[in-house]
Amino acid sequence: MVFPTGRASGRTAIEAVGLGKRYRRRWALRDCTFRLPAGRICALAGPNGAGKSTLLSLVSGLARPAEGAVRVFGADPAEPAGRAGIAYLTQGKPLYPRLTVAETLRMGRALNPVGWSRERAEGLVREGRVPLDARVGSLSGGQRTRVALAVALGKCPELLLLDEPLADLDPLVRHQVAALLMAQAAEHGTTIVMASHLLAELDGVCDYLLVLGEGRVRLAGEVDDVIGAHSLLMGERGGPGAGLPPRIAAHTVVEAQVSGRRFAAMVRRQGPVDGPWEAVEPSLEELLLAYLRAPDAPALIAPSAEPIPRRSHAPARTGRGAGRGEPRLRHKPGIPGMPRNGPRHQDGTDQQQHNGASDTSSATDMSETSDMTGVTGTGNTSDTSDTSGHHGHGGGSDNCGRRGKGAAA
Amino acid sequence: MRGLLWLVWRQHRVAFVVLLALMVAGGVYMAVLRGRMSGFLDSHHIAGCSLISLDPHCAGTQNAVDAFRASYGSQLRLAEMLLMALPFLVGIFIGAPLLARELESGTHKLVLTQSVGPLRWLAAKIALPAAAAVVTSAALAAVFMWLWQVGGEEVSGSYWYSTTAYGSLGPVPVAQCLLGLAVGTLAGLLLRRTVVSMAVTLGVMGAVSLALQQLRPYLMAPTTVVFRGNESQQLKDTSWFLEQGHLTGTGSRMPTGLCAADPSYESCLRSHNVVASYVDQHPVSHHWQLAWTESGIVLVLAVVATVIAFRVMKRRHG
Repeated sequence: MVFPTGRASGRTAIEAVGLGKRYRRRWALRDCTFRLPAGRICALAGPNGAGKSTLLSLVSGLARPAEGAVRVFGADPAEPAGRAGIAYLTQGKPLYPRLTVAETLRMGRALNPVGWSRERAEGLVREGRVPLDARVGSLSGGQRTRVALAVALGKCPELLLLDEPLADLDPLVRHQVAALLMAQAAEHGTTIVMASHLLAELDGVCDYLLVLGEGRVRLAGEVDDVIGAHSLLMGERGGPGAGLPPRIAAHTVVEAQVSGRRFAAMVRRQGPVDGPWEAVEPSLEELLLAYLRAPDAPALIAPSAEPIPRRSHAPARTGRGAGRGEPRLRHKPGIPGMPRNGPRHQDGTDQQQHNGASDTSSATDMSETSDMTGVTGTGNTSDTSDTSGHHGHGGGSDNCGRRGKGAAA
Repeated sequence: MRGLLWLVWRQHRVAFVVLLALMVAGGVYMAVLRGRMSGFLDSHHIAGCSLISLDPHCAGTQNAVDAFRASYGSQLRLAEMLLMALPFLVGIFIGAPLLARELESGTHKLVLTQSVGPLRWLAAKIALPAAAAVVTSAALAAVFMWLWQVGGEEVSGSYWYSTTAYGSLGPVPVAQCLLGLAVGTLAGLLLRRTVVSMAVTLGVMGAVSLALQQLRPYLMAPTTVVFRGNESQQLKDTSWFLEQGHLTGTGSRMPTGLCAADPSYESCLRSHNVVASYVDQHPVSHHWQLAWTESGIVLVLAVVATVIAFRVMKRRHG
């Protein structure tokens, strides 16, 4: 029996309710509530000291929460059952520098007696042409990252937590590592949470967003949901002394910048944004920067990031959440009651063109999604029927998933 | 668990190899020393003789005993020093870095996010060095005992109750090594800094050793020897002298200096009804009971430190 772990499974990877962690007298994280569905690649963003590493520590089970609770695939991450499904690559990617690469992989097997995939770990190392007999301390940053990832992925995690995985890499290696992560996520349906400062790197890689600020959740939800709820409005204001046009101020203004007669405002729409200004959909980076610059802007938790209420006496929520288990397509998210705006221009003139573009991209998305499901399916079939001897290429070749299935069953 | 033990071995193999080398070198040194000592004793017939001895068979051996002490005394001290230092070495160079180095470099996060739990990791981290420390210290203590049976007590002046000999004999060094390891490990876990933990381990172990030395005479009731009148009696050299004083006719004790300032010493004693003098001492037969009692206390301390370490680990990382 195969239990898919990926996006199609409709499972919840992380569910945090009222999570808090205090270091001495300072709260590093407070009242953190969100839900991350399985199979997503989630960007965890926020300024320094926002609580990103603290949140990852709590989700990984490395640290214990001072208040609230977090569950990973329904299990307590500090319990053995939860721990086995989580890999956490902490900041700086600690490894024992005096161990050789081969010894480091042996360590991975020693520390994960159940569920370790030697094929997967060694495959990752070989793919990067990292010499197995080299000491870890003598490796380059990129090779080191690869070995650290091999240890993390060798335990066949359902959830991979990464704290600044790309920070100390040159742009070329950064690209390779990001591609490697995407490939692993697609092959194995691994849910990934990646904390990063590199805002530009996150765009196009992540389909889920979690932004923290001062220990609290600022933004959470599907990237498309979150971006779709905002508009970047640019135009000319009435005079040098005048503020934003009142019709803009009626929306939730996250951040506004005024230079000369021009203004640019990032707003969370409360209705149509038509007016004598240009309205565009912000890029992920623009949106994140706006929220980072405006720490007092109200938080936004998209419905896709709300914890599923466990009590039965909440029929409205259950009803709305009924479709949540279905695989969701990237181009059809949206916040209920809020019209989904297009990728770029929202004023009437370009509407037609935008629709066309949207359709094209949706077709691509569709095929990608089905491709991904196909790969996962192949992998799973290979896992169950083809565990000995012959191994094909890709997801099925590494004996992963048997432990995961056992845990899920 | 086997995989974990392999990892601990791999990480600390230098320390284990040094311990092994220390054990072999110390063992060989003491065995050679024993051979030489026993040759000297046999050829000079001074076994059991002290520098000043009432034993008739030791008459006229003073020069030979002096020569023996000059030749081998410092070498025997060296062997005792090795065994006395071993608990400190184990605590400072194995115990303190055991967790502190991991916490310092962040590698504990690498281990603690794997499937094996923090408590099993800690158990493996402590178990292997503990086994190594027990083997090393027990082997060295056994060889030392074998050496000391020949060269100890009267002939060398290294009596069982001398601080260094006592700390090198029987279960004492083994228990001390385990305490050193436990203290070092706990210090490393709490302080998270290798050098600081080493210093604290040194301090704590020194303080515990001093405290135990103060406590040692009271671990069991001493035997009181009473000397009456002008009896010519001498306390045995192998008896651990603790305290002496005057004894009155009613059996109460008076301090030694009672009549020291009085010009007529005898009449002063008589006026206080002193009829005898007494000596509180531990005869050599008390040695093993004292040693095992002290080792038991040390082991309890080691267990307490270890339990605290496990509780801290459990609280921090579940």
